Amino acid sequence: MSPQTQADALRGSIDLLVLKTLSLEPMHGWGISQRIQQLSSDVLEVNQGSLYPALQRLEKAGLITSRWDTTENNRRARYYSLTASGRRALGEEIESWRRFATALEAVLSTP
Amino acid sequence: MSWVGGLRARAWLLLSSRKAEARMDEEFRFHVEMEIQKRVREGTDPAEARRQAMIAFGGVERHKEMMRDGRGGRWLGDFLRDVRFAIRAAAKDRGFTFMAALIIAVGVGATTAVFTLVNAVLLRPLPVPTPERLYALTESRVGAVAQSYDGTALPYARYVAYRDATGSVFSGLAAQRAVSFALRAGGQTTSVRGALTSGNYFGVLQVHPALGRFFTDDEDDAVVISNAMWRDRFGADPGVVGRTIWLDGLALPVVAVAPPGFVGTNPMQRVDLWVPIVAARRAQGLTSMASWMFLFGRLGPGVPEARADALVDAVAKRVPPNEPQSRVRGARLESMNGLFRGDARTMVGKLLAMILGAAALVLLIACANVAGMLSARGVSRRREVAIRRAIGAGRGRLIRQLLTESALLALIGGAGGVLIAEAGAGSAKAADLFGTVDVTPDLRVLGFALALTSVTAVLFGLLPALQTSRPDVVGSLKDGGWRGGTRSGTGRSVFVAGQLALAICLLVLAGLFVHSFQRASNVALGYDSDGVVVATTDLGPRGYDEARGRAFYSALEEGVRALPGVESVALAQYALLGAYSGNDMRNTESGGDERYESGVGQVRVDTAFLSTVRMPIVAGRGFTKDDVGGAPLVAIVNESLARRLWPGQRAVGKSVRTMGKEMRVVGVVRDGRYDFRAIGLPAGFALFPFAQQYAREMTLHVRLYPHTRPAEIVRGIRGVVRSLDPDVAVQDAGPLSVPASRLLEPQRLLSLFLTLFGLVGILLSGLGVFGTLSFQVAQRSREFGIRVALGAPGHSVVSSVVRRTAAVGVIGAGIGLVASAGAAAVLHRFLYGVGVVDPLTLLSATLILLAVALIASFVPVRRAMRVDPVVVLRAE
Repeated sequence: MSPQTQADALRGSIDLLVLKTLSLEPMHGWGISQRIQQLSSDVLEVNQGSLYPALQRLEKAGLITSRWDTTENNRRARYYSLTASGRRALGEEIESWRRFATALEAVLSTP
Repeated sequence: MSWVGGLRARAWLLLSSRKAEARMDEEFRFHVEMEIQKRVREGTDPAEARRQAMIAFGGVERHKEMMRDGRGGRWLGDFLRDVRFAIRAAAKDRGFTFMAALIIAVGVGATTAVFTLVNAVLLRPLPVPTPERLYALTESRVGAVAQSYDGTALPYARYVAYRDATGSVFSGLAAQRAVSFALRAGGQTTSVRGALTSGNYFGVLQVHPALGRFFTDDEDDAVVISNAMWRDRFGADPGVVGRTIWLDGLALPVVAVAPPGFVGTNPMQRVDLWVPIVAARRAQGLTSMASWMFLFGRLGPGVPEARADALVDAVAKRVPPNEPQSRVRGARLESMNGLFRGDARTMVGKLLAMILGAAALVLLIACANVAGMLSARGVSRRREVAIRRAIGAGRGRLIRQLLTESALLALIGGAGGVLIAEAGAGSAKAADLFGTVDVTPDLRVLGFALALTSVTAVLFGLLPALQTSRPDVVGSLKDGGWRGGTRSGTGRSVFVAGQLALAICLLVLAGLFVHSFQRASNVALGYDSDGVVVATTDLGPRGYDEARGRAFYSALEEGVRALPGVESVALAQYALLGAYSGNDMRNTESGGDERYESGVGQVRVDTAFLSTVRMPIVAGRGFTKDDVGGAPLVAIVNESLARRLWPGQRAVGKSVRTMGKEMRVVGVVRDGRYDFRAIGLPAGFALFPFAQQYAREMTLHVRLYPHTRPAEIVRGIRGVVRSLDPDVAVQDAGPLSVPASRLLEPQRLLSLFLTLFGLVGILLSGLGVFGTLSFQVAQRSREFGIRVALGAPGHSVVSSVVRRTAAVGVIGAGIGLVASAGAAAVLHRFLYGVGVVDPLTLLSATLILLAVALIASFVPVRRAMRVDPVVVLRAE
């Protein structure tokens, strides 16, 4: 997969990935990108150009909130966490993604 | 609340956006630092780690832009930033800003100045409560000829019929008629302008008195005076209510003082007295004067104009008119705004529309000019624009920014335009160009100027903005902004061609109207108005019968003739050049073709009239002392009337019929101008001997010897009248040459404006040619340098510039000539003695434009010829 197509595939699912990551624990932007990369075994690399706008979008939609906090190294960072409606949205998103993936798989596995 | 709330929300947005920017910065910095730390931990050299982290993060500004877009409501911040930038840009390029703003100011100024006039003449409402609910009633009549005309003056009986039938749509229908009263106060009898009104007049206007109470329907014994008269004549005496004043020999008690600034329903004819029409009808003499009324009504609450309009039309068709020779075709409601009603309003409206159209052409030329300038500057800004795009500015964003710059230019220019308009109105007032019309700009004019300015900004800003922001990042950065690109070159040529087309249009129209004006002025007055003093007296109010009246007038003539400095004295029913209504006349040849002429001015004159005003007789004879009561009725007609009633025949000896009488034509006088508002062809005109047809209101025409002061003669006339009857007022006394100089006023005004606008237009388009050509030469100087260096002769370089300019010029002029022919065809009825296609005008307009284009291209072409290859190529 070329980096370009990978990025395209990611764009649609960035919201889902961010929500999922934040459902584990509140985290700052850099941490989110590291976590996604780590969880996907370095396959998914989140571009900052889509990560921060996505965070802004989700916050505006009320799915996540943010506040200033300090990291373990005593640095100030913006921490994002899931809201109740964000948690609900995550469930729905996962559901619809699974449906989509299954359907896609069904089509692709046709001999 | 909502407005303040909105403002607060916006202010908050602006503050919060500043916070959001800070947050964004910190978050990004944190991100990059963590990335660096990570790489350092993995063993990368710190400097290299920073480099890699920055690359991995990507374009910070682009990310920020995306987030700013995502935040929403950013337009305000952007807008303020754009304004700041625009101001900086304008301040940096002062020469350009000044030039562009000046050109816009000329265009906006011309249009606003004309609108000031339109506003004063047609739009300004009466100073009464809810003036938009007031409407004037106008009848459409068909004369004996198949010609229709508007009648704003109606007989009293018809007023009553309308009033009684329209109670369902009007809260009141009032009638009024302006008349002159002889006011006798303190041993002096003076003539004052007053109005005879229906009892509901003030109620319909909803005006409230400053003092006392207005008369009502049942009152016939009352007079209301204006605030100005109260102050000037009665020293603002609060006890004036209840005092008796003498009007036309009738004693009337003052019941009220009108509020300040109220001068009746026509600002042009200010009125100082209001008398109930019933009082006038009771008093002997005023009855006939009161018979023609001007009607206006106030729509009832919630009644739409269309319903009232339909009803008055129906009433008009039902009620038979009392003049046998004309037929009422219908009636309609008309706005009470402005100064004119009926036909006059239509005529003046068309005239002003033409002048406004000419001003709009100037504005369009100005816009095309500035658009050309902006588009040229856009080329030199291609690098700047390319850089902006490269670091993430969208095209829409760029266009918005460029339009903000245009708006700023327009605003500066518009402010200048308002100043120009105001100065224009001021100088017009100083030159007494519009007489009593109040041309002071008001809020409506300011609003117009503001709207015009915004339209202007888009007109001249949009195309160049689209052009400049066209995405071609790589090309522009690569060639260093040298090439203009052929497409933007074409765009500028279009602007130049458009300017030339508009300018030639203006020139041709100006030429046609100036030419027509000269022709019309050459239809001389038809008599000699210099050195003639006029003064009018009306014996009606004093109740003179015909015998006493004739005795009065012959005594008056004798007395005035005896005054020192008087060469000759004559009597006529109206002052020449005064406005008077006409009647239908027809020829009476049996079996032949019957011909009518409507609106013929008819004036009763004595035997001395033609010689006194020096009106030449071209056929037959003048009136003699034999044309008296018992003798056959006779008439004199002018050339135009003779031509229209008896085409190709001798008029002398023929008979005419008018007002139920038949008369024999004994003479024909030269055509002349009889009404200073007249436009176009000379009107039909007929004279009858005073000895055969008496009129109680007559006007003295007194010819003075040279070097006699008119004011002295006027004083003398007043003295003679006072000695004959102290209750007779002398009206409208003064030299005849004053109104004569205002003759042809509409044409004069039109020629004046068109000439002015034509000159401005040609100047602007010359500037446009100059600017565009200079720019082309500057842009192509490197190319020229190379060509010259390679051995091309200087003239081949020049011809490549000139060829293109010439092509643009020919196309622009061609379009302009065709368009002007079309415009002239529409306007032909305002032209007198000039064809729509006037070869002389077309030729001279084209020549003028050519000359201007040549002069404008001289400097740039010379510059192109002197291109020094060494200098140009070294500059690279």
